[in-house]
Amino acid sequence: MQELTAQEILSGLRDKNRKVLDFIYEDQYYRIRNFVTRNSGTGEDAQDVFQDAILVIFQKLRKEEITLECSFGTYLYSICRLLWLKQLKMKSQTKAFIEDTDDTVKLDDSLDVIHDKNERYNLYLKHFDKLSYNCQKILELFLARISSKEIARVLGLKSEQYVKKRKHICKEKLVESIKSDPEYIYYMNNNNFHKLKKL
Amino acid sequence: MTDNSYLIEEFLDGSLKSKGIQLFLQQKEKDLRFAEEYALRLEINEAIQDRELTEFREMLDDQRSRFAKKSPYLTARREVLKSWHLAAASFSLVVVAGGLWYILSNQSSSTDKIVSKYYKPASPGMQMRSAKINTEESLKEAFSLYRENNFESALIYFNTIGNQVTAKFYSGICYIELKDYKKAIESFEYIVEDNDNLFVEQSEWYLGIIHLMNKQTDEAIVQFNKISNSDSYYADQAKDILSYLD
Repeated sequence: MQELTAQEILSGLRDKNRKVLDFIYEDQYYRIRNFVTRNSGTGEDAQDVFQDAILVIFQKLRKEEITLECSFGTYLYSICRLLWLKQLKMKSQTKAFIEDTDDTVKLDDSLDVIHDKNERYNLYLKHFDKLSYNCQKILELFLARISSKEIARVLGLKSEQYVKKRKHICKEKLVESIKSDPEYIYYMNNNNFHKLKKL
Repeated sequence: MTDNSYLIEEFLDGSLKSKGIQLFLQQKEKDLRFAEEYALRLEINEAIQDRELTEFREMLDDQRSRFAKKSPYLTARREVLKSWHLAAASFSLVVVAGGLWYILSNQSSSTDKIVSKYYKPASPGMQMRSAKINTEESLKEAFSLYRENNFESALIYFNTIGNQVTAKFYSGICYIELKDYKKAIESFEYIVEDNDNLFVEQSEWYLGIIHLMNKQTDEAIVQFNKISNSDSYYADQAKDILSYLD
């Protein structure tokens, strides 16, 4: 496999290049697995953390350029370390000693914010996926600003009014489903999940 | 649906007229719960609409399942190894996957043949993880020579650094390459005894491999037993090797 520079990796990530993703996995996953499993985690935890970290980098790249002053491996490891520490705290393993298995780099706070948002998105989409096909489509089409008339035609529904009514029912079902999720309740109670955005 | 949630949804849908918008904004300003409810509903919409993120998540899920089908050890790169963690993993892979087959199929072959057939040094890329800054230049020079397979010269540099564990570890690998197993054992034993560094597991593993290279099967069994009974990354591979050595 061809060696890639940090910039090539970041650029490939931004472009969702599958070969670059595979390169990162093959090049870096073992290090992350080593770290997580040495610090009270399992291989499955390591997979989760690795995936979350890649998502965080991807989200950051969508917003802005990333200029690294360290290797990509160190950057990724540092993010994984941050995410795993958060997990350990959530599991009340705050006393867990973190044994570093690599060099780290200081990260900016935005990565933590991005991760929190990714977690929330994850939760929302988990419940969205549980909705019926029609509910999902109605919500998606509504959000795409497709007219009620067109939605009714596409989904074979009887009227525009019915589409609007169904849309509200579907949305309420989704919101209630999310709010009743223990994960959402937990985070709400710990005041670190849904932070009010200044809108 | 409550009046509040209805108002929020109407706002998000862009269905409110100017009076309704004014009412919405006033409510959001004075009522924190209302504002939070709005933020939640807006973010849910954003999540549903973010097709690029969904697509990327699916790619990662797909990757995960593709790699999960492989042995975890197959996920370590074998062509351009970037660290001795990976080197060790890769080395263990070839020993287990290839070497043990060789042992099984050719009992009369000596273990050094197995190792010489499958062992290949990797180019270190993470050599600095336990190194102090002031040894960086010496290590750079050592690794530069190492990459050129100039193990004798690399050793000179590694040895000038003294008992710094990174240098000690790689000097052990150099000694393996130079077939000076006694000194290789000394290097790895130093690291194991130090026990306060990141190379302990790998050193334990290489000690076992060196015993195989030395045809010291009894010592190798003791060493791999020690590894297999620990929570080392190499415990499973050690068990595999033991099952063939016993």
